[in-house]
Amino acid sequence: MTALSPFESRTSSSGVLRKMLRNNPQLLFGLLIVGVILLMAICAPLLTSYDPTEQDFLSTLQGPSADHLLGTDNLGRDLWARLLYGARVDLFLASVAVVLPFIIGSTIGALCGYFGGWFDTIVMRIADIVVAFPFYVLVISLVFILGNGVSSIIVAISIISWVAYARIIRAEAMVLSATNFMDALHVGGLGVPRIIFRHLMPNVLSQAIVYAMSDIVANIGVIVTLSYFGLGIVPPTPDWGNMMSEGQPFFAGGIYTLMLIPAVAVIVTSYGLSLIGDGLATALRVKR
Amino acid sequence: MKKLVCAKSFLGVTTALLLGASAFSPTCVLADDTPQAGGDLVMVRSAPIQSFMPTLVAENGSIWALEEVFDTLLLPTEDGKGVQPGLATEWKQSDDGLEWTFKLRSDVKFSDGTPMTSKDVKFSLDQASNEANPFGFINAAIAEVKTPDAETVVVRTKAPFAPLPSVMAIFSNSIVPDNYGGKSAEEFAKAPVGTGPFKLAERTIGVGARLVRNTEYWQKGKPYLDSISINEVADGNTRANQLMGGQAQINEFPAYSSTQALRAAGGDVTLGVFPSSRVDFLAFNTTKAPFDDAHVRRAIASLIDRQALIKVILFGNGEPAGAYMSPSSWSHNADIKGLPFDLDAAKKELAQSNVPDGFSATISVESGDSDQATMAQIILAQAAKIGIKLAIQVLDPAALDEARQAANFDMAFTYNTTDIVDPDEIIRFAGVYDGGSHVQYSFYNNKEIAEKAEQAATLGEQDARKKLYDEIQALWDKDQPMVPLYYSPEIYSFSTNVHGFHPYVTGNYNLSNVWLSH
Repeated sequence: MTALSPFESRTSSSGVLRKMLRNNPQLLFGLLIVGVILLMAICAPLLTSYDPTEQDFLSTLQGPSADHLLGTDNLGRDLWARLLYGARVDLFLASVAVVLPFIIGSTIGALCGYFGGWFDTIVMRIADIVVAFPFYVLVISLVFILGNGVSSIIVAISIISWVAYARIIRAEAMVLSATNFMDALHVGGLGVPRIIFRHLMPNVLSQAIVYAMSDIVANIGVIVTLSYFGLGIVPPTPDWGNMMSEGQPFFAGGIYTLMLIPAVAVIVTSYGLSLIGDGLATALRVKR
Repeated sequence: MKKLVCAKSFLGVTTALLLGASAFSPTCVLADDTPQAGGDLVMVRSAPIQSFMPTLVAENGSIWALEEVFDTLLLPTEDGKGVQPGLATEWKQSDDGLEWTFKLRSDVKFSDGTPMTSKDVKFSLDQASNEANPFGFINAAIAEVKTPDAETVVVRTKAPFAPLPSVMAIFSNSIVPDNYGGKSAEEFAKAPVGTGPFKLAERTIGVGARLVRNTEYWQKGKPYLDSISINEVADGNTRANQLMGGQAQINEFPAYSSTQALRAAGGDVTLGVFPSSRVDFLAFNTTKAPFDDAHVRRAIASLIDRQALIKVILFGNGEPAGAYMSPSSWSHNADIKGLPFDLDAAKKELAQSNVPDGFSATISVESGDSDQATMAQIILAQAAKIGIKLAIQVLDPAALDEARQAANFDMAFTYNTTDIVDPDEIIRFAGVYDGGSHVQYSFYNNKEIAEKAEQAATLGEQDARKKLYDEIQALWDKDQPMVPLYYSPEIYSFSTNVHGFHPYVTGNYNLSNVWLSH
């Protein structure tokens, strides 16, 4: 990175954007894409007057029109409304499903990195066992056992994805534990919990936060996949996955929009979130 | 709606009329075309073949495939209302009504070259009558099979049993060699030997089967095709693409949503709509509260907008169902129209039930079956209006079957098709507790229906039987153990170079009549 000139460091908000565009365009575009989608999801009731589950058998499988922006599905439900409310369901769930693994994984990772020894060995072998299974096979079998629905999805994702956070934090915590900084804390007479949660974790969490961004993308993938297979969000609640599976049989009949519209939504959102993840990685790397 | 739609046959008919020809067959055969021998036909479908053992299979995917390998004594007629000669050329009932004598064709050989005799028939019927078989119940009336000589078979029944000829036309009574030709049943299932037009060349589980011409087939000049491949392709879009791309010639059950496009296409692919005995139902678990209450079942039946189902699911290719017997059967009671879609009537029924203020329940649907998911959503939306909170439970096919058989469900979709031309099978299967599946796992147990069904089977006179069947359907209609949803045809899309393809009402493909124009 080149050093910033004094002029550039004192600029207006449009200047910040311009600077970001030059230094970290990925983060900017990512935030823009995801921001717009989030805003649309939050403002769903303002952007459409249709109830996403309201059936209307008089206007089934219609193309885009002034009444129905993206047309209607086979039950006469407005596709635009389903897309917006589906975004609410998928994005909300994908973000919520990150929280538990983040907390559990980071804590376990920090403890392992700090203590090491037999505790570290046991926990990391458990982690190995969890990741030894193919991810989707494990998620699908867990949801199958727990029954489909929101809580099962969160539980299934949490059981599996804490491992990644634990491994990331453990590695960072091990490095930090070997430094003079830790020695100073010990000499200073601080208690172990205080060292771990106040001093160690804040210093190593940034990597986990970056990973969490890409984890949301992965979660969207998981939720949409499960719903597509009929194991995720239960109809009639709209979700991009069940919209795709409901639209799929119409492909052979030459009606492509039912499947393609939610598919495009998934691709655009995932792209945006990936950009944010990459952008954050770049930004945080510069700082260190 | 229920007739073959085929652009070319229409042309053919016109030509025939112009030429003054009188013969018109309702298939896709052009008037001036004569069948051409040879060619390999590929049929793609989602249904797998479980086994080629006639006595052990129970689903259409296997049944329709093995009917190409095996013959039965009699065959159903095309319209599904009677029987015609098969391996037996003549049959008659004795004066006391207890014995049926069948005269066998003398020139029939199995695909391994050994001649077929009455001994083979006796062995086959005895095997098929084992009560442990899925379709063993269909032979319950048979007391004994006798073989006075090599070309005569006498079937003795416990009581006079009118449906016997049609029972002789069901797949489970397919004729196999005596003692399976010296093989064990397992070996025979892997390498079946029959008298049908084709013989099994190879089969890969999960992929499909390839059948080749049986050179010993007794109908001279048939089959026309050298081979047929039945490929299992689960995804409907892939099947449609394979047909369009010429990798397959027949697509079993294309998506209803594609029927309009197929009708309009007029290119290399055409649509065949064939009368079928299929009836679709929403089944209740009648052993579980609140569905043990007929008022609750009638309330739900009144919530179902059949016209909407036909529009949304079948894209117009079907009729709303009333009686539980299909209109393709002479036993169909046309006076029963089913409960009309009427929210007020539903409310009234619910008010008279044990749960006047509504209740919560689940509809179980098969994962990946978007038709079931769609129907469930339509019913769910209406039920909410009268205080019935329904939730959709998605189960994978095996888990759903298990749940239904264990009576561990509230509501689920089901359907039936008949395998014989006599109504006896479905009257029992979908109405009598002991009829094979406990009324399609609704566990509905109505003694009066069971008695009437028993009595009807002993009567020779069709009018007298019809009267009893009408009564059975009326009793059933009052109780609504299942809600009849719609009667639908069988739809196939196929290349325009496929001729003579016309599945019977009973589903038999009859591929021995099919030929490809090169």
